[in-house]
Amino acid sequence: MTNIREVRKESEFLLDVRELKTYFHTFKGVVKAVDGVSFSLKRGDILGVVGESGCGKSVTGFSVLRLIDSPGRIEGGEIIFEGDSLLKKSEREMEKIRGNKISMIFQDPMTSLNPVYTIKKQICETLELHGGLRGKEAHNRAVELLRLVGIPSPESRVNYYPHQFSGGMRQRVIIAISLATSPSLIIADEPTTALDVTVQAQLMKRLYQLVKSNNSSMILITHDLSLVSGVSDNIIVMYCGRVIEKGSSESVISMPAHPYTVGLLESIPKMTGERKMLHQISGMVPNPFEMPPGCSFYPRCELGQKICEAEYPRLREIEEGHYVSCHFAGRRNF
Amino acid sequence: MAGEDLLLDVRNMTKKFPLARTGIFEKIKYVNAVKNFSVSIKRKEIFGLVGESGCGKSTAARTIIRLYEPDEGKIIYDGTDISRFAEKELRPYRKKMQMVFQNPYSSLNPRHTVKEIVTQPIMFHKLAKNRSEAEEKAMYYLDKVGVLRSQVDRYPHQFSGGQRQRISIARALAVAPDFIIADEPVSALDVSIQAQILNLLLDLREEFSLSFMFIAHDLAVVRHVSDRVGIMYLGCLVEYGPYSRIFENPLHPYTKTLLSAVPVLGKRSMESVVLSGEVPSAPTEDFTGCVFAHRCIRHTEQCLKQTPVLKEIESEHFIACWSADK
Amino acid sequence: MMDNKSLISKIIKSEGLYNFKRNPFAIAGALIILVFLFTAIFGPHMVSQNPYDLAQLDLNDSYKPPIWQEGSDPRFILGTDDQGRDMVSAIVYGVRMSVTIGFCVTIICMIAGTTLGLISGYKGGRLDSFIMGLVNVQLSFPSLLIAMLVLIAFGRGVWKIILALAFSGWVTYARTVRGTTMSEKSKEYVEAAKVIGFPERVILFKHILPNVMTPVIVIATLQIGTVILSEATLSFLGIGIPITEPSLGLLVAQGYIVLFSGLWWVSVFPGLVLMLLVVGMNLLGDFLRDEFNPRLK
Repeated sequence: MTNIREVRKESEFLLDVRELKTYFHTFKGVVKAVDGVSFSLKRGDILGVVGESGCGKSVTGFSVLRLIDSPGRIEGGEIIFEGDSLLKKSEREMEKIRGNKISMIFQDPMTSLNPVYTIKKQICETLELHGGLRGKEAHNRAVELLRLVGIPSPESRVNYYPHQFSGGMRQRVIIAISLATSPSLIIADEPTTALDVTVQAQLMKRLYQLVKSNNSSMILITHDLSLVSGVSDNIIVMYCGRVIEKGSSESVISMPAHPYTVGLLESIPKMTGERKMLHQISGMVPNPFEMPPGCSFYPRCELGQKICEAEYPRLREIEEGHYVSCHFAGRRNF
Repeated sequence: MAGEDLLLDVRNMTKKFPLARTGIFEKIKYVNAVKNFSVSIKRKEIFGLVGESGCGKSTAARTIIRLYEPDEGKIIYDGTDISRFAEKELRPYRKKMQMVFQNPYSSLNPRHTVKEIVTQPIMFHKLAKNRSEAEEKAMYYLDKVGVLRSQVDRYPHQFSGGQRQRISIARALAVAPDFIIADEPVSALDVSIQAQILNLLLDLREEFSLSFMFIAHDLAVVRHVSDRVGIMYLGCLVEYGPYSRIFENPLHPYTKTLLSAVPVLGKRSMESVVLSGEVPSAPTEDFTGCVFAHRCIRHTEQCLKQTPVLKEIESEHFIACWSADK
Repeated sequence: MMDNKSLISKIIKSEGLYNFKRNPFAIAGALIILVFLFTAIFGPHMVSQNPYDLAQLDLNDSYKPPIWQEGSDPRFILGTDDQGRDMVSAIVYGVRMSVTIGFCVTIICMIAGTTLGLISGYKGGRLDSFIMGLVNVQLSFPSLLIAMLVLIAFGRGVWKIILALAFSGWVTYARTVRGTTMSEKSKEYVEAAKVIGFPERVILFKHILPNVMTPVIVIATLQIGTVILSEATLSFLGIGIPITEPSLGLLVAQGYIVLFSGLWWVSVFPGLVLMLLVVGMNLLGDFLRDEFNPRLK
């Protein structure tokens, strides 16, 4: 009974992920790539998912689309999208959602386009499959999409092959494809990491405008805190497969509470002000096969105490909408 | 700027690469990967070199360290021009100049143990009397960069990216160089690991009195470590000077747009001034004019026809731009 | 240097062994090869007669059928041939010959092909064009034809057939190693070795060579089977091994004449053994190829 009530309560959200668990069963043991991740996303919002490599941020993105290949498996939790549970859908139903209502932008612009087809063919394929557009109509829409993402003279470039574009231009094409069906959710996994700063700035600006003007939502997965802070409404910070802090962009960036977030922010070199010795988080991310039983950040944490070693801290709300998973955060100044 | 403390002086270095021929009877055309590159580095100085991909910063580094032959210009290391030296003559300089590479996954030989990787250069340059002394020295450097003694018999794939970069640094240190070129040493690493490596490099500079040429595309990282900074665009150095001047008072239009494109923590970046278009491919050898002119909002007739040269605008701050005087 | 104990524990813990244990074909292949290697090395000391010592043969024993057929002789489990040779002994000696030729040819090809491929890929330019030219010429002739020409020109003999087969077998190594070398040489560890000042010889053989060995080992495993088959073909055609020290192929050829006169066992048993040997090699080779191919992971 409680389930129904909860669903109704959360229906203001476009996407609601609860206690998601995705594990990989390898020959060395089980890797809990995503271990109890919960977040929700309102229509029109941009959510930044930040963390270092191996923290499970990409796997979270793939899990939402149920694109987890063996030896990985979604072991538990709920993914509710537009009121429906995605985990209960058949593979066929998922195919209708992927690339249509939810689309994905991958990191590598060099490999996410098929090199043997023209751009037009690749955009029209999506339009045909999900939008039912054909022939002239599809062609016009493809040109329009390319114009939208800022490709100059789209009428002629629509007939280009991927190799005729530069990296930045290809990523624009990929964005165009992902927008083709006006999806309500876009999952962008490190969309600008392979690109130069000036191109990144152009592209993020364009993507931001398009998402906001379509009233779509976006999950922006990246390692770059500065980039996320400039774009997203909310941020979740992940570490070792778990959400360790979440809240609005302003509060997470200006008042970080988890020692990991604090350390991360302090270890980024600044563009202005006096140069200081960079703060460094000592040690490394723990081996995924030998996760500490308690707080996974404990071995590297300056605040660590007995309780941290034994017990995993649950997410607590330290101020409105700002959650942190630390026994000591907010209780002490640091 | 000349004097006792000058370690490396590169003058008008040019490196060209052949373009694929378009027809059998056509003359092979060349592009300028690096054009008229001049830079001087003092002892114990860190010179940061920034630019977007394809701007020639890695080519410049590889030419200075003589992985490539320069086509023109001089590379004067500690008073000797090494730009035309054959491999044999270069050998004594090989232990004075070292390099740390970008990709920690391909810069270490996967089939050699960490101990071997660091011992080999010591043995080769005969910096130790015998193998055991060489290994002892290798351990010393591995210890300096923070690799545990218990880990030295492992293979590179058993280490994380950050650890591998430390091993790479130990290999460079092993021959006791004065000058290290670090080509994007932290760009493949996570933020928290990046900070560890940057701090390590700064410590090592103090301890071993090293000079660095530090190449990166991340402006904030370069700002953090460098004493002086140079900005490259399409093979040309367009601006260089003390780091504080470059970051507080950039003068070249390209530097300005580059700086404005960097996302800043906590700043809604969607309103920043953004450069349109993308970096075109490097110009062919017969190109004249300013390489940036076509994307520059302030370009004039002169910019398209004449190649600007570096001029000192304020003390130690140089730019190559025609509109600088106006 | 790693001591033996840690090497063994490394192998036991390795992912390769994990996959191996879950692949019945690979296990079958490895078992077959082990049995054959054992036969090739110790077999001749364990069988009742040396089939090529004429003093041990008795023509009265000729064409005895296998033991489960009428008129058989309990001394000859798989029967005898026209000379009264025990088929079991003949097969064991044949296996020894086939396996020896297979390994010798493969090792010669491996060394020659790998060295040429390394130099070709690293040096580039004219030397590369020359070596690859040789490879292409070689590839444009069927390898059996080349071997036949060499054998016809120089006559029969074990060493001659080994050289004849090696003459056309090195090209695969050269081509593969050249390709791998070209991609390896652009990696940063090679640049790092150059910056340290190592001479080319050291860079090639100490730094690059260990990194191109993986495909070489795979090709080698697959090649042994092919070589054994080629040798069998040549021997069958009567231009390979001299009749005094026959291989499996020659045994098949000898029985072939009388195959349809009811004396099937002379041909069929050596043929089956040959097939089993090649299948075993290929099973293991396929496994190694999949295991070492990062694209399939």
